Amino acid sequence: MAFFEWLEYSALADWIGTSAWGYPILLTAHSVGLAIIVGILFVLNLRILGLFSQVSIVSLSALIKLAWCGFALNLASGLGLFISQATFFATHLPFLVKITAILLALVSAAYIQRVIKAKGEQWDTENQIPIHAKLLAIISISLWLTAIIAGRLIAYID
Amino acid sequence: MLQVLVDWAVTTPLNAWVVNWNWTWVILEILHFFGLSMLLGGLLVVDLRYIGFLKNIQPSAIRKIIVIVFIGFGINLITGILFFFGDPGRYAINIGFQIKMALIILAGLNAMLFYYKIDSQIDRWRDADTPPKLAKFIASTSLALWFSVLICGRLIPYVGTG
Repeated sequence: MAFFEWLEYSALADWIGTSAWGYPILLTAHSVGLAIIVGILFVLNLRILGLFSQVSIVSLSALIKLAWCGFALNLASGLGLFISQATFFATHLPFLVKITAILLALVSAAYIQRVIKAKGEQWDTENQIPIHAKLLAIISISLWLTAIIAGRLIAYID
Repeated sequence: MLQVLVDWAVTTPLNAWVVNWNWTWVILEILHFFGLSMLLGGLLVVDLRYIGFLKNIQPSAIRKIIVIVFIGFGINLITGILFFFGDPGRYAINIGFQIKMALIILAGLNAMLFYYKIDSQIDRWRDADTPPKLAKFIASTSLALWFSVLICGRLIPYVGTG
């Protein structure tokens, strides 16, 4: 807890918490990053589930790089938001659920990216995607939904 | 005119429903966030293709992804109207909200331009690696407008009256 207190009392955290625009700018950046990472992975996961079968998975998966950029934006803005109320977030259930969901979602995204690299072309030519990949896509969508729900609840649950 | 709309909105049962149940607002927000992810995620794929990336995907195939954009927009139109009915006085005078609505109208006009000037011409350039300049311009404008809509929307609680 001492570490979180130290974070919260740092000059940067103080600026984020007390300046007129620090917090709103970080929140806004956080929503832009959310749209990029969740949006792109949602389209990709729907494709893995079998929608838009004319769209090549290999080509679509090029956008995963952009999704990682969205994540970088949200890691940076999220850390800023976190330190401004570090002691609150560190023990706050919705926040902890959100972070857990995101960590699992990132692992599944990295795994999906790897599988597409290895098998994507075969899936494209055969127009046939194995059931375990589809299951992974459903898990990925569910995890991001959980992250959004828990993230919104942060503002509503004490 | 806006005041008339606000005065009427607060008397509707919709207002009472949004205001009176504790969980309405957060559920609407969650849906609004999910809708915006669909809208912008789908749009990124579609517009980036028309700007000239993702060249291996046929425009005619990627066009199907526009459905996701429409579903996301539909979710956010409905949840957005409910937000407005829940707190019309606050939204109507908010500069973030006003700019956001103006940008959505511009984005709609831009989408119509896309529909009439680009969509109908797709077959003529489906094999070309480089989309026509107008397609690039409209697609870039679309992304800029919609991300600005997102930014204005997120700033609504933090900006003043217009």
